[in-house]
Formats: sequence, structure tokens, C-alpha cells
Amino acid sequence: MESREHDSRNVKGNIHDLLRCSIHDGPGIRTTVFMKGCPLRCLWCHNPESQETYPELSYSPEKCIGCGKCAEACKHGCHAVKENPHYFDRTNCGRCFACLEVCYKGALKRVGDLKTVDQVLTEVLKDRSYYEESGGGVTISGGEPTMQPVFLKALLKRAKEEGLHTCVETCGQASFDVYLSILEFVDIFLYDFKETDPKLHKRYTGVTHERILDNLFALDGRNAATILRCPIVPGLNDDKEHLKGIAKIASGLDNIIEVNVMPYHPYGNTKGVHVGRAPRLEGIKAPKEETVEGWMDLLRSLTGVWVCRG
Amino acid sequence: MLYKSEMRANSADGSQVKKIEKFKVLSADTEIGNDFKDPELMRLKLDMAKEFTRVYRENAGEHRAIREAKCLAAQYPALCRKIVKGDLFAGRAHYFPLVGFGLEIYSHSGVRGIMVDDLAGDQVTEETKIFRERLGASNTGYFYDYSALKEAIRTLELDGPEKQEAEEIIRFWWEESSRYKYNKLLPKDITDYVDRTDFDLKLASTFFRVGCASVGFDPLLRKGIPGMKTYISEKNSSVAPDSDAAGLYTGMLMALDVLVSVCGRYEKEALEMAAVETDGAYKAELLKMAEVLSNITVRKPENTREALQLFWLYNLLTQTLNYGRMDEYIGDFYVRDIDGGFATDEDILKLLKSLWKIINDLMIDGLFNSAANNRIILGGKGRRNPENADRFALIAMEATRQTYYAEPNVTLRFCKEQNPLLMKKALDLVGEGCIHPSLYNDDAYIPYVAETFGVSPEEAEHYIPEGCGEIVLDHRGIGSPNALFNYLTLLDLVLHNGYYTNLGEQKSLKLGELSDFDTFDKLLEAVKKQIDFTHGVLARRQALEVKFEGENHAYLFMSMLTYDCIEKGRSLMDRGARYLGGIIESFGITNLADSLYAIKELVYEKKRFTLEKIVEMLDADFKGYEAERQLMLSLPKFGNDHEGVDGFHTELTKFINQNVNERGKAAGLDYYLVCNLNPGGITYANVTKASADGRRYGDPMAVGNAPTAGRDQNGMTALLNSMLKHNKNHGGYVHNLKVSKSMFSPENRKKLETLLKSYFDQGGIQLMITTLNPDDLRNALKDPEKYANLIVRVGGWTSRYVELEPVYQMEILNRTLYC
Repeated sequence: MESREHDSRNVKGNIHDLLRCSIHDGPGIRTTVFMKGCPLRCLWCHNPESQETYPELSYSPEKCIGCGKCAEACKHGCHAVKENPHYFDRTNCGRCFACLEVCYKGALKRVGDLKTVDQVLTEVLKDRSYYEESGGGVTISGGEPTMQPVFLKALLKRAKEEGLHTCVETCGQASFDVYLSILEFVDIFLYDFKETDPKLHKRYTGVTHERILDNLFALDGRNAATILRCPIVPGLNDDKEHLKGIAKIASGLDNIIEVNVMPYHPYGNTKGVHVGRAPRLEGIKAPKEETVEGWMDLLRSLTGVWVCRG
Repeated sequence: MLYKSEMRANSADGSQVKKIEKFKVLSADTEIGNDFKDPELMRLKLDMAKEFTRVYRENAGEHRAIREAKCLAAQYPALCRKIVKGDLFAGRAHYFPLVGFGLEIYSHSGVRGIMVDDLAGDQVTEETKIFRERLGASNTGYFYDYSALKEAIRTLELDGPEKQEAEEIIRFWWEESSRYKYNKLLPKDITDYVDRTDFDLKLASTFFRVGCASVGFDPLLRKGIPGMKTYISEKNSSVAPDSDAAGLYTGMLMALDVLVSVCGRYEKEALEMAAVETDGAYKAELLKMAEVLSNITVRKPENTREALQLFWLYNLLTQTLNYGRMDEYIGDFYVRDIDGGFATDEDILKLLKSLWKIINDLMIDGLFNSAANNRIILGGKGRRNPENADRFALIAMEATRQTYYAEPNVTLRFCKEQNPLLMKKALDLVGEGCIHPSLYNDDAYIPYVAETFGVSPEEAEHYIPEGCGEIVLDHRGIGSPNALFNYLTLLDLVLHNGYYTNLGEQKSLKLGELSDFDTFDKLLEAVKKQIDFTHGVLARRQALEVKFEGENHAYLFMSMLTYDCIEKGRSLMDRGARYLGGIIESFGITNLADSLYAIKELVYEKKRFTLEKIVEMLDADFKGYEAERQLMLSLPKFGNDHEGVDGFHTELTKFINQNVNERGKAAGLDYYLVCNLNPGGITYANVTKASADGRRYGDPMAVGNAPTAGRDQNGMTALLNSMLKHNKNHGGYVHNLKVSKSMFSPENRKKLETLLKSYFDQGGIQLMITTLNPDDLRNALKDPEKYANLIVRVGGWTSRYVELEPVYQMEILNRTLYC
């Protein structure tokens, strides 16, 4: 038993960020752990650097000082300081990350680090008193945390042993067994619902929502407290039908405690470019405040569940 | 205090020419410069100077307190400024007397002195020497304004006997001014290390002043002037007529007569103004003002208006800018007015808003820029009437909310058992972008104050932040911040074996060549020795100053309302005050810690560079070493809840705080502390060399217990946790936090409140919150007129953002905004 316990603490997860003092990912003041890898490819993805499961190299040209040290360090010929600031071709990148060591300015960054449960937890526990005061805790987000089920379960279990409030943010596209395995360690699921029309869902995210809805209903059947998180993108899924669809689910299930409207913002585009992914949505701006209020008012007229911004 | 002028002392590029230009402009903007354009005012000041000098000379053989009282009678009401239409209270002064007595006075000579302060050797003229040897920007006690007197002779075109008389005044004070007597006392080893000059702005500055002082108005307002007279007379009759105490008591009684004559002067003026006032409502106010002024001379004040008027005029003569715990001394009057139906909250608000305006106008009224930090303390433990005081505190905050001035600097002390409405009101103000009040957590602070000052917890309940946030024991002690020291430059001294590269001279101890520091501990030991040496020099200087002030000045208005002067029969600085200490305004400690930590990692642990190489990079201001500078920037910095660097910071600040107090006590002070409140971290930084934390020459240093602007990148909780680790046995550190207005939105405010509560519950002692919209500062730079009213917290003081110098604007812009 002892050795197994020891093992679970040393399980490693691929983490791409850890955000302290987060006030938008569940109740109270929280630390959000972002895990790498996602089965969906949403057009509006605001964390595109989290999509792939493997560690990636992110390059921010605006930070580059053109010192050329990366070109010296790279064995694959990816970097060259011929142009201003510097030319970077990731085609041959062997992910050795040798260039990182010499990029003092931090223009080059590794996205995705293997960390043990205890390493993550040590960082999370630094803000324990803020959680206790505010009813906050830890939120595991992504990417999609259920893609790393062993780590996810181990981290949640340890968090619970420490008495922390836990949230898991999920897109719903996973085997229900994963949810079953973590159910007892999760206080609230932050569950994404992105499009009512199955065809559009496939177009926007790359998958249909069949499994996502099945899992959502199954979790409801097991009394899992859930906040429905709905990204709304102008011109894509801001139509009445979808808003009605959200309200229908929120009202129809017993354990939806809140609906979060998450208005689109384009800030994810740059992060995507930094890891070599061109933005897939262009020309869409963040909606105006009145528009968001309009969506929320409509939702409030259709469901009794508490609706707020996420 | 004074840091706005200190900040002006350096232009963004540090050039001397620009600096002088700036002072010329500055001088022209304020009464100090306008004097010369106003012959009538100049004549008034000159007449006062003559009379003051005559009285001073005639009373050479008198007890110092009696001589001082007589001199004060020559100064006031002569220097009282006329009532400004609209004011509900009398009491504005002409500042910058040509000759006078004061607690803390800045002068035209002082400005000239700053202008010539760091001239290179070959530019030093005879006149410059005079400034350096005989004058200073800051003054206390008997003072004359050399430059202004000379200017007065010229602009008033004085001739014949009049001119002779004015020149005779200059000659007389040449030897007789307190500043010159004090300058003469300073031993060479002190002047060699920290110079004599105010505003040296490189390594150290020293002041000659009694700053950060406040009196306890409670006895005055409860007894009234007649009651005070009776009380002091009784004391006087209990001591031998020829004793020192008798002289002091007699001086005090005479000083109260000066106060009465000031009331009389304003009563007369109010009646004269009323007689010709056409606005019926204001005419009634003037008549009321005259009645109030008459009443307070014959009996104790009976209502809020009378109490505030008496407080304000007494304060005018005290010459402090710190008003102490106003909720305690006004609270009972306020409650009596409201509950008795004698006044409404609207009436009281009208009064407070008028008073707040007069305070905010101090800057315009010509008190240079040193009027920043008119501190009013509300809330907290140790008040005798907490319920009444709390009620007043709420309406005082409302006055601040409605006026939206940069001053007065309203401060809220709070504790667990306090009425939660006070904190709620405070956060309402902060959320609206009011900046005030700054927050002080009694539950966490009081035990530290007790330990640091060596007093009981009950006594420690009387701590208050003065001025920019220097901690003193309210009307019990004096701890003037009369030394400024740049701790980051101190590291540069150690790295050059005491040789000061900025001036090109051997400045301090030879603690070893770089090759001697073959371990980090040896380097750290040398830094600590240099700190110890510095504290020793500064502590001896402070003790000398305190002794001089005690022997030469009675500071009558301060002494009457400071414990235990009347009881002991001793004046303020002559051990009348219960505690006599001092505070060093420190700059660059956070950068010193970050830099040492970087050296530790790069040289001794990772062995990336030799120490010699690092020094080469710093001496070259990183020219040719930009990548290496980036490496230094990428190392852990204070403000991110990083155990390594925060732990080092904590150890270093603990050493500094303990060492300075030990050195102070050894020099004979009751305490000697370090504080960090002001953007000297910006001003000094202008001429501070590059440092191993990746800071270039001239880049701002950290302000208070905060990271260098923008280096905190790990969220607000990480910042707060770092701040929590800082050693708290100090004389005041400010904790600036810049948050987005969105944090105060209905859905977020609860979270922000719990965040703050948790910080304070964990031992956070202080917080000053600037609330902005994310683009406010950038927009203000583009469109200053539209943002003329945007107030920001700079260091211990606040300012309108658009009025700040560019270097300050950038530093505040670069601070992390928490959303």
C-alpha cells in the first residue's frame, strides 16, 4: 500500500501553466492548473498552446533581442538571426529545447512541463489561506484534464486529502469511466457546452456533441454539482436556438448550479501563433457589453438557474 | 514630506542644467518665487524679519522658551494670510518667511542649495560654498533665508539705512542661525561619508528638521485655551521660579497668548469682510466664523465647528502637516451636534469639505511641494471614544469621497472588533478611484510596533503613520526621518572596495578586493559590515541633531501637546517627549536583495560568470552585455512568492532592521529604524548605477515593500505572500497595489474583499490601493486634459497622475495591474 501511495504522488502530468489568484474558474479565489492536450479543436480556442499533448516551443518575436544565441545552440537549424528579429522554422524542431537555455530574455518558452503531483500541489498550497477565506480552491483545467486520467485522479485525491475545494473544467469528450474515477474527489464540474446543433458542433469543435451530452446527463444522474460553461462567439453560436438549448439543458438537469456565459475574446490568437498555429477565426471581435447582457437576459428569461459571466 | 521637491531635484536624464531650469520654473510657480513679484508681500515679510530679529537680539539673556515665545509673537499673526472667500475656517499662512522660527522650514536658499548641490569641483563658486557650509534646504529652529533676503534688497530697491538694516540682518544670522550652529557641530567623518548636503541624491542625504510630528489635540479641545492656561499655570506655580521648567511654562503661556492674538486678528478680519460681503449666505458664515473665533478664546469649544477651528489655528502655529487621530478628538463634538439636533450631517460635511479644501490648497498656498502628506488618521485601537470616533470617521471619509482631492491623506487603521462599516466605506472610496484611505492593520501591526519601539502593547496602540508613512508613537515621540540612504549604491561601494565610482573618490571602508570574496558568505559579510558602518554614522548624526535641538529650541506648541512635556517640565526634544528616535528613509533594499541573490546564483552556485565579470558588466551599464542582462532579469525576483529570493530578502531586511536599532540605541536614541515609503527609489535611481538584478543605470528601483515595477508576474496572491514575508520590525514600509476597477465590480468585489481579509489575517500590516481602468494611464499620457483628475499613489503620497514627472509616470505605468 505504502509504495502505491508513494507512486501516486510521483505520477507526472504534462502541465502548461499554473495561474494563481484566479477569480474566474469556480467559486472564490483559486489556483488553476492547466493541463496539456485536448481532443477538441474549437475554432475560437483561447488556449491554443494547450491543444497538443506533447511539449512545444513557443516563440514570441516581440520579446526577441536578436542576440543569436539560439542559432548557436540549435542542432536542427531551426533558428537563424538573418532577419530582424530572427527567423524561426519549427519544421525540423526536434523539441530538444537546447535553445531555451540560452534565451535569457524568454522569447523562447517551453509549453508543457512534466510535473509530479506533489510539485503541483506545493505550488497550489501556497495560497491555502486565500482559499479558506474565500471558499476557493484548486481548479484543474486545460487543455482537457481527462486526457491525463491517472495524474488527474492522483492530483484530485491529494488535493482532497489536503482539504481543498476542487473543480474540474472539462469539455466532456472523454470516457465516462474517467469521470467515475474522479467523481468522489470533485466538488464542482465546470462543464463546457458549446453548440446545440450537432452538425454545427462538429464544424466548430471537430467532434459531435453526442458523447459530451451523454456524459453530462450521466454526471447529473450521479448528483455531480455542475456549472455549465458556454463560450459564445458572435456570428457562430450566439443565435437564439443555441441560447434556448443552453437554457433547456440548465433547466432540465437537476445539478446545474450555475450557467456561465463566456463571451469570445481574441487574445488566444497570439498564443497560437507563438506555437505555430495560425488563427482560425479572423475578424471576429469581442462582443460589446450590451450584447453580452442581452444574451444573459435572454437566458435568465428562459431558465431559473443562476446565469452570470464566466 | 518634501519628497515632491526631492523628486524635482533630479531631471529624468540627471543633467545639472535641466535641474537648475526646473527649479527656476518651480520657484516661479510658488510663493517662494512669487514673493519677488509681490512687493507688498515682500515688504510684509521684511518687516516681520526686522521685528523678529530685533526681538531675538533683545532677548538674548532670556530663557530659551521665553525668547522663542517672544519671537513667535513677532512672527504671528504677522504671517497670517487673509481669509479666502468661501472658506468656513480661518487659518492660512504665508510660508517662506525671510527670518523666523519653525519646526520644519524650507527656503529659497534651500532651493538654491539644491541647485548647486552636486556641482562639479571646478564649478563651485564662493557663493556655492556658502550654501554648502552655512545653509541647507531643510531647517528647524531659528532660520533665515539668505537668498531671499538678498533678492528682497534688490527687488524692493532698498537704499540707504533700510538697505543697511537688511544687510545687517543677513550678517547677524550668518553666525546665529540654528542651521549654521548645527552644521558646525558635525564631525568630519560624518560629513565625509554622508556629506552635509540635503538631497545629495546618490548615496545619502541628511536633513536638519523635526518632521513627521503630530500633537495630541484632545487635551486642548477638552480644556480649551483658558483651561490649558490654568493647567500650565498650576504646573508653573509648583516649580521653583528660576527653574528651567518655570521658564518653559512661562514660554508656553506666552505662546497661548500668541494663539489668542491670531484668533483676534482673524475675528476682526471676518467681521470686516462680513461688513462688505454682498452674498448673504457667505456673510452669515463670516459672522459665524467671527463668533466661533471669539468663543474659543474665552471658553472651551462646544461644537464641531469650534473644535475644528481651534484645532486648525493651533496646528497652523505648530507648523506640522500631521493632524493625528481626528476621529478621536472631534468625534465627541460631532456626536453631540448630531444627536443633540444642533447640526445635520450635511452641515458637518460642509465644514469638513471646506477644511479639506484649505488643506489641499496648502500646496497652492506656497508651501512649496512639501505640503504633500497632510495625514489624518481614522479608526483603530487605543481611542478613548471608539463609537463616537467611528461615526466621525465615516463622515470624514465621505468628505474625502465628495471632494476627491489629492490631500488630505486620509488613513484608516482597523482591527477585528471594529465596526465593519468603516472598512466597507474605505473600500467604497478606493473602488471609486479615490486612492484614500490607505489601510493599516492594527491586529498585525501593534505587536511589531511594541517589539520594534520597545514599548508595551498598550503604548503601541498609539502608533500612527505620519507624512508618507513613517511610524511614530502619536504625540508621545519624535522620530524625524532625517537621513535618506541608498542601499543599492552601498553594494556598488563594496564591489569597488569603498571606491565611489560616481564621484571618483574613496568614500568608505576597504572591505576587500573582488578576489577576496571567494564565497558568497564573504561578500555578504562585507555588505553587512558596510551597512553596519552606515547605520553607525547616521545614528550618531541623528543623536547629535536631537541633542542640539533639545538644547536650543523649546518648540512650544509641540511641547504643550506632547506627552510628557508639561508633566516633566521639559521641552519636546529636551527629553520632554517620551521617545526620541529617528528613521532612515531607505531606498533600493529590494533591489539590493534581488541583486545579491542574482550574484549568488550566477557567480557562486551556477558559476556562469566570475564576480569580476559581473562588476565589469555593471560598470559598463550592460553595454555589450544585453543578453547577460536578460539572464539577470530572468532570475527569481521578490514579489513572486519564490522561496529562495524571498527568504533571502527576509533575512537581509531582518538584519538591517535589527542592526539599525542597535546602532541607534548605542548612539543614545530610544530607537532608530529604517522605512521605505517614497519613490526615492525612482529619484535616487536616476543616478544609481546598473545592478545585478538586471536594472540599468537610471532605471527605477522598487518602492516600499513592493517588487520593482512589473517584476511581479505570478498573480496577486503571490505578490501579497511575498510582502507578508518581509521583516516587519521597521519604521514603516508602504505596500502599493494597483488593481483594475473591474475588481470592484459587483461580481468580483466579494472576492477582492476576501483576498484582502486573508492577507490581513495572515499578518499583512499595510496596503495602499490604486484603482484604475486598464487603459487609464496610457490614455492620460495621450490626453492629459481629460484625465486631469486622475489620482494615483506614488509612494507614501498621492498625486494627480498628469502632474507627475515622466519618470514617475512610467514607473507607475509599469507596475503590474491586477485584474
